[in-house]
Amino acid sequence: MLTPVPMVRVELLTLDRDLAAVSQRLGALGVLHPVDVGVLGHWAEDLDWAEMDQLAAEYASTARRADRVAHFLGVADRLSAPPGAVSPVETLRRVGGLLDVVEPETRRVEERIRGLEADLQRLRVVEGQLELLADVGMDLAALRALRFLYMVSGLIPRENVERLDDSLEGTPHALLPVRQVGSRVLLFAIVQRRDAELLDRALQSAYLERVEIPADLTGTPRQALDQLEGRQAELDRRLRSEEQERSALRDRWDREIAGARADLEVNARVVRLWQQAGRTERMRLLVGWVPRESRERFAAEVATVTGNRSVLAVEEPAPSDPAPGAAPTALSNPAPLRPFEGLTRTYGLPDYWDLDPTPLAALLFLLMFGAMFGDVGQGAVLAALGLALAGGRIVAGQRDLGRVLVGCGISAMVFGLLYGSVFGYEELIPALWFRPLENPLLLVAVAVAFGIVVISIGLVLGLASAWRRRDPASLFLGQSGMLGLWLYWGLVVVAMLAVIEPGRLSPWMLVLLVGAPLLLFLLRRPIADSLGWIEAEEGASAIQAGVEAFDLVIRFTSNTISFLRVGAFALAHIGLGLTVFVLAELVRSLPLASVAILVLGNVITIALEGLIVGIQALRLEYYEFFTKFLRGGGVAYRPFALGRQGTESPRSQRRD
Amino acid sequence: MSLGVFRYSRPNAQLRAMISRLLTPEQLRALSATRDLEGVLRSLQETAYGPVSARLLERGAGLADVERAVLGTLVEAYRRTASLVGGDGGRLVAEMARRLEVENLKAILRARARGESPDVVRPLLVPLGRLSRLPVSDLLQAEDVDAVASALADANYGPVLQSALPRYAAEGSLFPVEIALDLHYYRRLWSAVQRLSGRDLQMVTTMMGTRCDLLNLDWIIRYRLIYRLSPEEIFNYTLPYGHRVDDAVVRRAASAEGMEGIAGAAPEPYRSLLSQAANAADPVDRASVLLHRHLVSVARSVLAGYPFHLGIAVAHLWLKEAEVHDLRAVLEATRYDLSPDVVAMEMWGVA
Repeated sequence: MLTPVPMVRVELLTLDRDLAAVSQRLGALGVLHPVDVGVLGHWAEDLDWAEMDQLAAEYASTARRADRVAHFLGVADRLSAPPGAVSPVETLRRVGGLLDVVEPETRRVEERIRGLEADLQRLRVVEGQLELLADVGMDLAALRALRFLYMVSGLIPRENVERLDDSLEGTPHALLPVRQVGSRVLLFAIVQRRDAELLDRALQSAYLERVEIPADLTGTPRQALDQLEGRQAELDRRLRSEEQERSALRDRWDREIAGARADLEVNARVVRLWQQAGRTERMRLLVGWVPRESRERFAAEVATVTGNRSVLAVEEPAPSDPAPGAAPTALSNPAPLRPFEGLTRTYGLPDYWDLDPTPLAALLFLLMFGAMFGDVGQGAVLAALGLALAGGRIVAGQRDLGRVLVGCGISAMVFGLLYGSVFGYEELIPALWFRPLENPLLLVAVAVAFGIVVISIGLVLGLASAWRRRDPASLFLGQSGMLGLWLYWGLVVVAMLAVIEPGRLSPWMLVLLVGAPLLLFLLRRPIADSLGWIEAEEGASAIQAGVEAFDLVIRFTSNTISFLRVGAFALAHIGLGLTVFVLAELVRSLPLASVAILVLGNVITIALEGLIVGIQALRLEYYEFFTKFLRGGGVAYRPFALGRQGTESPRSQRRD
Repeated sequence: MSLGVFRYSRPNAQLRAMISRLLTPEQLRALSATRDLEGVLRSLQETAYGPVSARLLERGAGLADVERAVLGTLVEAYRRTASLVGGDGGRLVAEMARRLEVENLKAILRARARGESPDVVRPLLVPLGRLSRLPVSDLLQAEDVDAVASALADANYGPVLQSALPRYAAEGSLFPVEIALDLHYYRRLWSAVQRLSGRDLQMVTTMMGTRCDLLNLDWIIRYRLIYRLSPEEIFNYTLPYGHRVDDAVVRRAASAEGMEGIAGAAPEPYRSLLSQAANAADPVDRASVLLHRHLVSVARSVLAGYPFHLGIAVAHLWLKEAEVHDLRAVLEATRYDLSPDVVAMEMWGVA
């Protein structure tokens, strides 16, 4: 539970002729996370897999063609039927043949529709021009033949208008932006006729696309607008007719295109798997990761489908595995904890050698939330809201959020009992522990103590993580290793003594608790280098080590002090409740208003403070806790599978 | 100030370590005297490029592979710097890296315009990995320039290409399209700068303003002396941002005659640099080199000052850009057998 699912690396050598059958079986099994065979190093470089790149490119091209046709016809995505036999080359040929028939028919209609739509848009732009001139009683012919003025209109990128205006400084001109058309503006530009060439060049460099009023529109602008209306009606009629043609095409080809896309999708996954395989004259080599618990089943399935004509090598992962082909991460937590995996993933998917902090993250998040939001009544409301969300009764697809809210609500109720708080009432029930407002110093002390425990757990997890990675430098000398833990607890003890019993602090104690670990920290690179744990870094100077040591002490201090916010927000929560009561008390003579203030105040507290407290708890987890042991940057386990839910691990998912 | 110290103490230490691994002017001069590819790789073995050059030597890599590997180190510098500084600073660095994406897009557009095979273009693209969301494979398969624009219709570049393509259709040249992409890139970069705050905003605004000065002057020189564009066109093809070069300077320079005229319109220190270039055999190229050397000197002066701000990261990337430019000049020299003096003249980081 605290570590990702253990994986093993499999290298499967199979006959070329068995590849399709093997792929189909692996797709049904859905446990192999494939990686590029190139990760095997030098000996795999001689293997040839370029031919699959060509096939993959043809698949991508055919898929684009199919998508375009489907998009134009409005064909729904239907990848629900179980996949048929895996046959990438045959599928490509068949779908290509189908598209060769359908495409010309759809393209003709598509081009006509596009042309009509472009004409309509152009008419709308002209309409804008004419509306601007509507109050000018002049004939359009006269406007086109202005003797002393030169006028151009067209569409120009919005951000270029101001620059164009500035570029014409010194030349008498008028720029009239009329209306927005997409990301561009319909613009009229007017200069004296003698400056026509200058304006043309300026407009061209400002990327103005000219839109002229058609020469066959005559009369005054108002008369031209009437003519335009008639043309628009005609274009609309033709467009509707083309749409009917499109519907007819959809009725005719709907089933075939949907089926072809489904076949393409399934076989493209297989091609992507094959792209990652190596090839000799008659053999194919597939490499990937399989959960350790599935390796027996994997081996048995492969042996069955190939009739034992295959070789399977299984290897355990090692921290030194090169990044591009390193083991993927699959988190495995009990069902109640799974909604909290989102907390971990938002920070970053753990690397395979990282610990999975989800169980601890869930516990700490709930504890901190409850401590800052302790109220039996408001917690119950939150839990009820969470139950509704988890049951899909408010918004679909938010079940995990609902379950987290239920946990938060219950935690808030428990702390409400401890604080003796119900909907902000502080006198209704007795406090099982203490009332924060009556003893704020205790609250602050508990918050800081809690912080010390959390940070210490983080550092211990850092040790465990370094142990898993077999990284002695981090284990013994790292910021989150033994040295970090020594320094942190040294600082804690020194701070506690300084507050409680300063007289007992001796210079030797300071040297032992803080000075010695700091000195070791300053020297950690040369020490690790001399022990052969790391290679000496160029440029990693004493100044850098000094800055890092200073930074570490500051961070440990600020990380701990940061937990004061748990106490501060608990007080703020109670303070907000009291404010609501004071306001309600002010209007006691108006019972309805008083009740309304109480209800509204609690609603605001739950919504606003609930959100703020949630963010603060998350922040404490991410910055003060996760940073001590979690590196992130893991590759998600994506098994190759055929079928609607299947995913695969394409080359593009390589890590940097 | 204290916030800056907390935020940048660690990135600053690590950036300094990265800067210390950049090639020194002496190393660059020595490289400029190397006449063949193997010699360049052997010289690089003594530098931070050691592991890369050893691998390339072992594989017997060609010029294109070496150039790609060198560009890979620039991409890695952007990636590491972005993750080091994080937050708005990291977003600015990612935005800076998009210049390489724009260069890739231009290369693809040129290839599609010439109808070249994807296999010809692919090795020329900067390997950006996760720093770019450009669907390179799809773009390389596109039938023509219009198809590239269609594939990017929903991306950041969609509206820019939509506005510029009518001119490509009319003129048959990608020149206006490439200018539109450049202007779009720098507009976004400037917006990212303006999202910074405090000392970061102050420092980076000055630095990026200087870079815009340089770009505007470089472009004005080319538009005026090579393409013979009108002042209005030049004005529209330049950036409305800068440190010392404002709209009035752009207007004066865009109307000036010859390199001397442009130099006269520019403020110091650009005036002196451009006057110096005016006497060179190829004044346009010389001016470009001198302006970029000025940028390198600005980066070095930033590194010599107060250390806890984002300007350190930007300065580091400028120096890295200059190093990669200079290495590419060295590699080009091995192809065309150019003399060390010619190579040194082209370098930005040797001053």
